[in-house]
This record gives sequence, C-alpha cells and structure tokens, in this order.
Amino acid sequence: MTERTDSMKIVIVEDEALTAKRIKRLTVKITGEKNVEISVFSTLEDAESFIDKTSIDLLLLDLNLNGEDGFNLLKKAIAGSFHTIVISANVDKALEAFEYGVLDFIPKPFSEERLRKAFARFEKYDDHVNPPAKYLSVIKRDKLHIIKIENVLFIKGAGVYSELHLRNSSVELHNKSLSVIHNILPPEFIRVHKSYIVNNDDIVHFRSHGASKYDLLLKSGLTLPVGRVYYKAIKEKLQ
Amino acid sequence: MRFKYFLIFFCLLLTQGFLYSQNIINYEKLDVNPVAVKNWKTNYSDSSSWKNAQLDDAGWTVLDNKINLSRVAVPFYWLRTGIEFTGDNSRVLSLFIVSLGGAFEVYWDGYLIDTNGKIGKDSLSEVAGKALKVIPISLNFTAKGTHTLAIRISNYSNLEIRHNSYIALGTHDQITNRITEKNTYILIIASVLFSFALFNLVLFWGFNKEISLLFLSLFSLVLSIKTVLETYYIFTNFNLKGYLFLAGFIHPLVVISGIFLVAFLVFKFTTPYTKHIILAYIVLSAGGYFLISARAFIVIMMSVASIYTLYAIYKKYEGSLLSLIGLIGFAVFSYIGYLSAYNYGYFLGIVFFVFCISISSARQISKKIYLHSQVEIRATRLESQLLKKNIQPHFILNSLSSLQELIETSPQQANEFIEALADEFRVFSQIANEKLISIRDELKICEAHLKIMGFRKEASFTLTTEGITGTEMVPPAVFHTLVENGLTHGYAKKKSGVFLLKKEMFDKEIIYTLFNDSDISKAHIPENKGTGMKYIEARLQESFPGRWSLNSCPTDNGWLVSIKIID
Repeated sequence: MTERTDSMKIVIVEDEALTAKRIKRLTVKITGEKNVEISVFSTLEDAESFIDKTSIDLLLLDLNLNGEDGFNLLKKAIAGSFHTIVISANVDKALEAFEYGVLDFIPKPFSEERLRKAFARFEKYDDHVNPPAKYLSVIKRDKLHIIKIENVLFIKGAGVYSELHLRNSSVELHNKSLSVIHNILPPEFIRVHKSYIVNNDDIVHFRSHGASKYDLLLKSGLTLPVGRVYYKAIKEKLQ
Repeated sequence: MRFKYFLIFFCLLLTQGFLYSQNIINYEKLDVNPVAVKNWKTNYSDSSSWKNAQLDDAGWTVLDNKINLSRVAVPFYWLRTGIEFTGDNSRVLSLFIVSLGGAFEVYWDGYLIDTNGKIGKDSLSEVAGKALKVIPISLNFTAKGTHTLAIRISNYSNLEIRHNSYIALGTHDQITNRITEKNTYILIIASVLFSFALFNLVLFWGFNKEISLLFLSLFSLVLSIKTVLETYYIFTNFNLKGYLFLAGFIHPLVVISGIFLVAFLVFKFTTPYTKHIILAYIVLSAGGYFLISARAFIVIMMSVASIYTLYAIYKKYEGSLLSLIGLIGFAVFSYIGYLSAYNYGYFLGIVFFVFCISISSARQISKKIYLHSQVEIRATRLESQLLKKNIQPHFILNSLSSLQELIETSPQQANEFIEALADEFRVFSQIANEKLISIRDELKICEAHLKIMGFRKEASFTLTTEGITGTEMVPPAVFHTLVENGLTHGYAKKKSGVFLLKKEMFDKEIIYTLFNDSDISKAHIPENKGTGMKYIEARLQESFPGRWSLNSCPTDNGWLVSIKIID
C-alpha cells in the first residue's frame, strides 16, 4: 500500500461480531496498524449517519444485516466519494453489486489472501476480472439517481469530484474523485489526461500537434486534451 | 291388459257351473305366451279310472285358480281339467309344470304321458320329483277339439311349498326359451350382486377396514344368494325336495339381509346411538322372525333404512343423498315389478340400490385417497423445508466465517463452536421425518442455535423454560424457528439475550409462549409472513388441524410469540 499522509478511514458494517472482528483484524494486518482508522457498525442506520457526517475512504459492507437487505445502503454508498467492498454470504447479489460499481465482492467465508486481493484493487484496478459496472449513482438534492455508464461520454475531474459528461450533453456531478472513480469503471474507459477519462469506443483518433501537445477527437466532434504521459502509455499499449 | 284378464276371469266364473269346466285355448294366443291351465277340479284319493278322458267328475271339488294343496297337507290327490283347442295346430306343444308334488303322473286323454318322481303309498316308497317339469305332448294329442288333462299326485313327504303350483301350456320353443330367459336374467342379477359384494369387500379390505363396507358387502352377498334360491326355476334339474330344503333358507336370509342393511347404514352414518339402533333392530328381527313374512320384513327393513337415511341427510352426512336415491329407486322398481307378471323389478331395485351405494363409497374413497396424498405431499414438503432450514447458505457461510476466525485466534473456542454446530446438525437429521418430536430434542436444537449465535455475535444467549415437564410432544423446529427469528431481527447491539419458553395449561388449552428481550425497534418489525412463520403455521396445521392459533407481537421490553393449542 502506498504511503498516506493521513490514515485511511475505513468503515465496517457487519452485524456478526466475530466476523466483524475478523474483518478488522485482517484489515489492520493488510494495511498496517498505523495507517488505518477503523469504525465498526452493526446496524445500517448507525453506519449511514456516520458516513453522512464523516468523510471515509473505504466501506466494507455486509448485505444481510439483522435480516434486512443492505442493498439500498449499497446504492447510496456507491454514490459516495469512497470505495465500497461487499463482504457477504449471499452470493446471489454479487453480479448486481458489481453492476453498481463496487470495488469487489467477497463471499464469506474469506481468507486473508482474498481480502488482500480486494485491497490491492483499491490501489490499482486493471485486472478486470469482475463483471463490469453498468451504473453510477449520484446524489442530487438528496435523491439518488442512477446513471447508465453506457450514457457516459467522458469524465472530467473537478477537484474531489468528477463531472460525468453524458451523451445527451448533460453533466452530472459525482462524489468520487477521478482516480477513485476510474477504479470502478469498465475497461473501455481510459485515462487520457490528469483530468479526463474517456470512453475508448468514442475516440476517432489521437492527434499530435508537435511539442508534446496531444489531443483526441471524439465521434461527436468534441476534442479533448491528452496528457503526455498518458499518450505514451496508450501508444505502448496499442503496440 | 289387466282388464281383459279380469273379464275372462269373470266369464269363466259365470260359466263354471253350466259348462264342463275347461280351458279354451286359442292357438293364436299361444304365439305370444304360454297359457296358464286353470279350472281345476280335485279329489283327495286315488283311483285308476280317474285318468280317463270321460269321467263324471261333477262331485269333485272345484279349486280357485291357485293350486296349493300342499298347504293343507293332502298326501294324495288328483287334478283334472279340460282343454279345448279351437283351431288346427302344427306345432309341438309342451306342458310346463312347476312346484307340484312330491311326485306326479300326467295323463292326457287317458294316456300316461310322463311322470315326475315316483308316486308312493307312504313317505318311504315315494320319490319326490323335479321342481320344474317340461312335458312335450305329441301332435296327435293336441288336435282341434276337446282333451282331458288329469294329474295324479302323491305328497307323503309332506313337502310344503311356498309358491302356488303353476301349470301352463305353450309351444315347446316358447317354454324352453322362457326358462332360458329367466335363467339368464336371474344369473345376471345374482352375478351383479355378487360382484358388488366382492367389490365392497375389496374396498373394505384395501381401505382402512371401514366396517360399513363389510356390512354392505354381506348385504349384497346375502341378496345374491337369495336371488338364486328364490327363483328355483333355473334349476330345471333340481329335485323338489332339495329345492325346498334350500328355499327354507330364504326367510332367514331376508331377515339377515335386513340386519346387514341397517348395520351398513348406521355404521356409514354414525351417531352416538349406532350400537343401540343395531341392537334394537336385531331384537325386532328376532322377535318377528316367526311372526312376520319375508315380504313384510322387506318392507320393514326398507322403511327403517329410509328413515335413517333421511336422518343422515338432515345431518348432512356425505353420501346420504345417494343412498336415499338408491332406496327410492328400489321402492319404485319393486312396485313396478310387483304390478307385472314377474317380479324382476324387486331384483332390479336391489341392484340399483347397491349400485348407488357403491358409487357413493367409491367417490368417498377416491376423495380420501386424494386428501391422503395431499397430506403426504405436504408432509414431504415440510420435511424438506425442515432440512433446508438446517443447510441455509446464510447460516452455514456465516458460521464458517466465524469458525475461520476462531480457528485463527482461539482454537479452543473453535472446538466448542464446532461441537455446537454438530449438536444442531445431529438432532436435525434425527427429527427430519417426524411430525412431532420430544420437546427435549426441540430444546436441544434451540440451545445449540443460541450457543452458535452466541459465538458469532460475541454475546451470551440463554434459554430458560417454565412449566415444561419434558414429556411434551411438539412439531419439529417450531420453537427453533422462533428463536432464529428473534435473534435475527434483534440484538443488533446487545451483548446478551434472554429467551424464555413458558407453557401454561388451561381447561382444554395449552399455551406456549416464547419471550425474548430483543432490542428490535418499532421501525424494524418484520412482516409476519416470512417463510419461517409459514413453516410454523404449516407444522401446526399438520399436527393440530383447525385447533391452533399463533400470535406474535412486540412488548415493552422485547418480543412475545404465543402458540395456543386446543385439545
């Protein structure tokens, strides 16, 4: 795990104390004790009110708490600025969870290795082993909106937020920063610039304007800048 | 038709004194039916001259047209009558003589044409003849004109015959066809009744030995036998003595059939008075045995049957309406039969009655089979539900997850956890296909579950009982499900939980209450009809159909579920 200046804030939502203990113990082991602040909640309400007030980095969520379905919390969580990893005994929901853009879905029981793998994705997600996300959720005026990823043309970074530029020319603001959101996007979305992620399928071609100035042309006619480093990486991949 | 007969009879009456008593037989009439020979005169003695065609028999006793001298125990007598044929005849005629004798000799125009048995001077020398005799008469004897028929009869054997003797004249074909027809008819009816008897016996045997079916079978069997015995005509080779011996059984058979019929009805439509009614009827039958005729017995037995069936209809017993239809059908057929020459109606009526009842029985039984299979299906479904409970992914995977942690951090506790799991699984597999289990086993799985959840939630759950003796039998996994539900929906933050199972008995009710001090908030009250509750309701209905109730609600300090069972 990369060094962080402040500790990583992790929330664990699990109603079985022993399992919660396990998640916490392993998380500490994986991240290193000094680097992490872990809060454990056994009810959805408690977790939600904490998340609303506190900015966190990662949510580890069980979908079946006290007999209740945690999926609604999941949809809301996905809209947050943080990543969500689901740890659940109910494997039926795995596909749907991935479609909503969870970072990972860990079936119970799980080993340390498995949890480590999930945390690895937190940093860098390029193995694309899991089913691709189909939706992004945004919270607009306290209401949850689900956006189909296929409608997203490109994404522009805006500080700690991301602007989702849709095909219909509307723009939605997402709580996740560009780097964070990149982790949960399907493989066709590539980072072309410090501030831009584009859907590969919409690119007509890349253009070089000499002196390390690059950009790309979209099918819609729009031009987006391309960062030098990113351009080199793309070119290598194409070769 | 009847009026015509009446007229003829009247005319014959009028002519009796004036004409030489005789039968005037039109050959055309013989085309249709044999004609009964009437106008008999009798003399109680013997003389060889009495066979003669010409005889002054003016002094002889005139009989009404019923010949039944056996009733007056006359050991020896002659019968004479005249027959006039009004036209030419080219067909062979036969005499058809039924129920006459002991033994007899038939003289036509003075000639001995046939004998039946051997006439004797006492009971030792006499040999009784056949019950039914067909005597062909040669053509020259039946030419146009007047003829004399004389019959010499000895009855020292003192055979008493229930029926009147019957003597008729017809073409030979007619008579033999008639006999065959009647044979066939009676055999069919007897076979049908016998088949019903077998059918109902099989139903009785194959389906739970319902006693009413046994009585119905016996009723049908007895009537089948009676049908054969009563119409002895079929036994053309049957010796009269032998027949009369058998016919003696008819009266007791009728009485017994009555008892069987009443027994069938009172056991099919049971009342608290069933035994009394049967006893009363048996006493009545025994009392009236010698006093009441078989025919009267039939009327009595059908009346009793009808009254009882009406009562059964009033009480809305199943199958009672069909039984009544059967009885009415019997009455109608019998009445129609009574009016006609041959009382086949009576037998048809019995067949109709037994047929209706058999339909009713068969329907009831197929319904029982269907319901039984439904019960079986339900029981199997419940059994599989019970087993599925035990292996639900959520339960197993979460338990394994907890076990994983215990193994890595506290192996001793891991062992205890595994033991608790094993206890629960073990008892579950034992109780899987029972409808009721000992409450001790039920408590075992509840306690095992609480122990397992105690580990998983790092809490301490206890189960205490009040009023349980340990001998109670309860449906499997009912309280276990309630404990599961209680744990699932509450105790989110509590580190301990108390479960209390109480049993109270009132009058005819048993009330089980399960209380737990869950911290479930009002907002989280689960819907009542989760699969768990459905399972419980199905189990209660299985073991205590229609006499249970289930109530589940929050209390001030927790949750209370009560199950009431009415004895």
